[in-house]
Amino acid sequence: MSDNEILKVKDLSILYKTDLETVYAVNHVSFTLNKGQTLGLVGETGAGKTTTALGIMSLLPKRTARVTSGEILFEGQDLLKMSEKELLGIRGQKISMIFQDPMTALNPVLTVGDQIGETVRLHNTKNLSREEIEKKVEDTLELVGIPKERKNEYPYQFSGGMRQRVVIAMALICDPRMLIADEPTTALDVTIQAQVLSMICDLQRKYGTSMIMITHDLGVVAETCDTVGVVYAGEIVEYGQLADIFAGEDHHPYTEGLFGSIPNLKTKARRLQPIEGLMPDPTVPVEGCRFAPRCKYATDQCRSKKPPLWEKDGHQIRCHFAGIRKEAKHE
Amino acid sequence: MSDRLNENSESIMQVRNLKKYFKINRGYLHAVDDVTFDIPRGKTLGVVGESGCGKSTLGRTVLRLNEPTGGEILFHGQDLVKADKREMKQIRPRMQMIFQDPYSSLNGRMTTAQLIAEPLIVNKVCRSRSEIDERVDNMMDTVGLAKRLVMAYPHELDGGRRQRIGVARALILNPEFVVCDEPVSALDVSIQAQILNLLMDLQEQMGLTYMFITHNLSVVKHISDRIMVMYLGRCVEEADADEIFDHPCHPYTKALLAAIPIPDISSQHVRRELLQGEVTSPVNPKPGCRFAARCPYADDACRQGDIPLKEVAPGHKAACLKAAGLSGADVRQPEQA
Amino acid sequence: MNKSVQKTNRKSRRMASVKEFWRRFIKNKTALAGFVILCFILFIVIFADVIVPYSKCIEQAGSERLQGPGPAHWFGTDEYGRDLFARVIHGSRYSLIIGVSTSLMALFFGAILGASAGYFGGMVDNIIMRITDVFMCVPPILLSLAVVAALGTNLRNLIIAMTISCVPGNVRLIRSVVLTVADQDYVEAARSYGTGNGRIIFRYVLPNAMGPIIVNTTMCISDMILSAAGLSFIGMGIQPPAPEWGSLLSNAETYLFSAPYLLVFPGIFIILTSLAFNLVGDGLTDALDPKLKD
Repeated sequence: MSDNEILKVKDLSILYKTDLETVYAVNHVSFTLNKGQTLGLVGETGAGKTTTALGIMSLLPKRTARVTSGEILFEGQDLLKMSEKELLGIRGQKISMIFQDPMTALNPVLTVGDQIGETVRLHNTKNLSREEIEKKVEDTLELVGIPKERKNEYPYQFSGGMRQRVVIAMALICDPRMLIADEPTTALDVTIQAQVLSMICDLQRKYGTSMIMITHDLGVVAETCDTVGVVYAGEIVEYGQLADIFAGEDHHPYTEGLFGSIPNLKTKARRLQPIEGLMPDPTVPVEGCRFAPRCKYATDQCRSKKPPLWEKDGHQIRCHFAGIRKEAKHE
Repeated sequence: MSDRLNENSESIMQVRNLKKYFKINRGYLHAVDDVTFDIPRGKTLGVVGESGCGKSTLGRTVLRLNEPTGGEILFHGQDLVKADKREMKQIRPRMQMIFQDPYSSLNGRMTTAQLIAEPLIVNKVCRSRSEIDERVDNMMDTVGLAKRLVMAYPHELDGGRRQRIGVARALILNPEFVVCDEPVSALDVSIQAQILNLLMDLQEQMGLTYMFITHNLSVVKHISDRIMVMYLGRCVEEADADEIFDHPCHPYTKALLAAIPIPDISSQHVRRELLQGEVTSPVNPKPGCRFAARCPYADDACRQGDIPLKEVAPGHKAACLKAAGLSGADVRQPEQA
Repeated sequence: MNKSVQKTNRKSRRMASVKEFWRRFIKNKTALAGFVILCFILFIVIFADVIVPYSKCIEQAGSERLQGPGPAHWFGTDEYGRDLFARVIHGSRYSLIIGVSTSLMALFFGAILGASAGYFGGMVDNIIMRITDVFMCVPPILLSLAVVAALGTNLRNLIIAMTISCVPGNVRLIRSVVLTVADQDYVEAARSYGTGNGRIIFRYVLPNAMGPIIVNTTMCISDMILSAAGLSFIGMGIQPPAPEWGSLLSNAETYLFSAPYLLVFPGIFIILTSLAFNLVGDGLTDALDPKLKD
């Protein structure tokens, strides 16, 4: 692990096991997050993005979830091998998370100031006095663009965008080294989304925080991320620098499908090119490529054999025909 | 009224000065305030705006699921506001609605077949059980639902299939006019594209007229012929789809366009003008432009009196005193990107 | 594809939904146990005369007062020397009739009033709920007492009286459940294609509000059996010497220490009955909910 990397996830697999079924949520996922950079995990509902995030935070439901393989190296230490006590020193303090829904992520009976200060009080390693904590809460509120006078108000007095700012303030107050943002703007309106996104990016640049941005919106990815992992059915099917994904020559068919599915503001094409079919059932282990049933290029080989990882200058694609299909397509 | 009809005889839906206020404790919530538009047969009017701008209320009021506070809703020239219960019962089947959330808009106790058949049964359209079955079968075919799903319950299906049921249910009565209230917002992108294609195909096949309500500008551009931008119950700009994207006039429309994250890195990190502040309250609004509080160009004139919707170019209307001066100004525009 | 095959297929599947319901019901082991107990109790109700003649339960025998359970009197005898077994068996008739019919009637009126109040809201809601509030101010037993006193004491009037005392609670419960269901999107969807209010209430709102309603009704049955005892005790219920479980229980109080069996046997039957109804009710709720399909 080089000095430049803050988080390295290697071969992570997570499954949920209940009496009735086993859900293979995350399958052999590997990625690296460099210091001060943003990694985007993009994919559809049920792709395993959030499970990956919860895995990193060690917040998976204890009763059902099992990590079956892999390691999560945060600053060189494997989070999976840590005791609950050691994790407490990391979770919320060095790694924090911004949740999707600002309406439910806040406790309605506590003032926002109390809620933001709570994290500091829990991790009070620097032995801050009450006044110092209050000061820190006020500073953080100002940082996310909320006047500090509002710290004694309750969540219901805030609009959706403001609440998400409060949630972000909660995540930032301990100056975390890494931030996991799970669909931070999905519940917000576009103009508010733009405000919140640009705020997150500014803060990140200012403090050099590393970030994992989980989203389904390729537009958000294009605006915020440095590295991108395209997740499909618990697997990273394509991984590379932003330019590799958005401008590169080679793509996984699913990535192509995703781009074909979004109505483009620039082109005037009347019909979209959706990906036919549905997400595979995550309870069934798959022999070959998980995308094969929906892939228009799929062959027998795809259905029977797990595709190897194709790689070129750090751009990885999990497809039998990566780098080959391109020529075929141009014919 | 008659000459107005002649003048625009191909319009299937004409809405004139429609108002819907909700009475709440502190006064009146102006959900829809003085909105006027026409939808020609076979075309799609896209209604865009952020949450709370009244676009859903507008859709429901046009179908008279809400009682309008004032104005006219002319469907084929007949004013729905004045229609009595019996007349409405006659008209209802001709105008339908597709709902936003395919999870909550389907009764979980009914099977696919029952859900789709329900409008037929309620409106006593079919004479026999077998006729109903046949029409349901055909409709399932049309919207792309496999036959084996007839007895499936909604919770057993994914969002895309549920929304197909919603579409089938809206279309089984052969309506002429369909209000689509955010029909794809709850769906994943790949599924979203499937449903959008389906809606467009059906429009061609059945000659449907849509009012398409959404907050997603990319979607609305894709499907609409004409677009209306709403802000706090008011229509702030209305024009043809391409026109509004190429030459937005109203500062709000511009801000809205600038705010969309575009999945293209050539336009990345272009510093764009962000709209400050948040939507103000629609309760007892102050006179003047509703957008003035957030508008970078607003001056005193904007805060006095009503700002009428004025034509700034042929077929392009905007409710802004400064529209003429702002047209095509400093925002990132699609063709420049 | 041949349409006829498919159509018959669909028809048979409609029939199959009843079978499907039954299959899911009996798959639920606790519900099945409840159902078996219920059948056993129904058997007693129907064949009470065959099991033991009615005369035996009013026959007094001074010499056999307060005898413990034994071969002659399986459940023992009460203070007048009457056979407790015969009284419990025949008591089941009154108790079950009272319990079941009052609960069902209370459910019926409660559903209509509660659903109307919750669904229509506004004026309708206000009127129904204020009247309900008035009734709820009076303790149920007092209310039944007043009604019975006004109408006269017999089984029919007793049922009417107890229903009236039970309805307000049901109205409240059903209204609150209906309120949450009624603003679901599918209700609005139904209105958008012209569904009438009646159909919406019975086809959309009530089925989706069924869970808590069924549970409440089954609990109401055992409740009613016990309140009938209260009325009997003050002479306003089933008239002695006719046996009824509740009154058997309240009579047994006097001999709690000398003859506890007087309390135990009717008690067991009351518990079994209410248990059976509760289990069956839970099973019904689950089997009727398509979401819980395996």
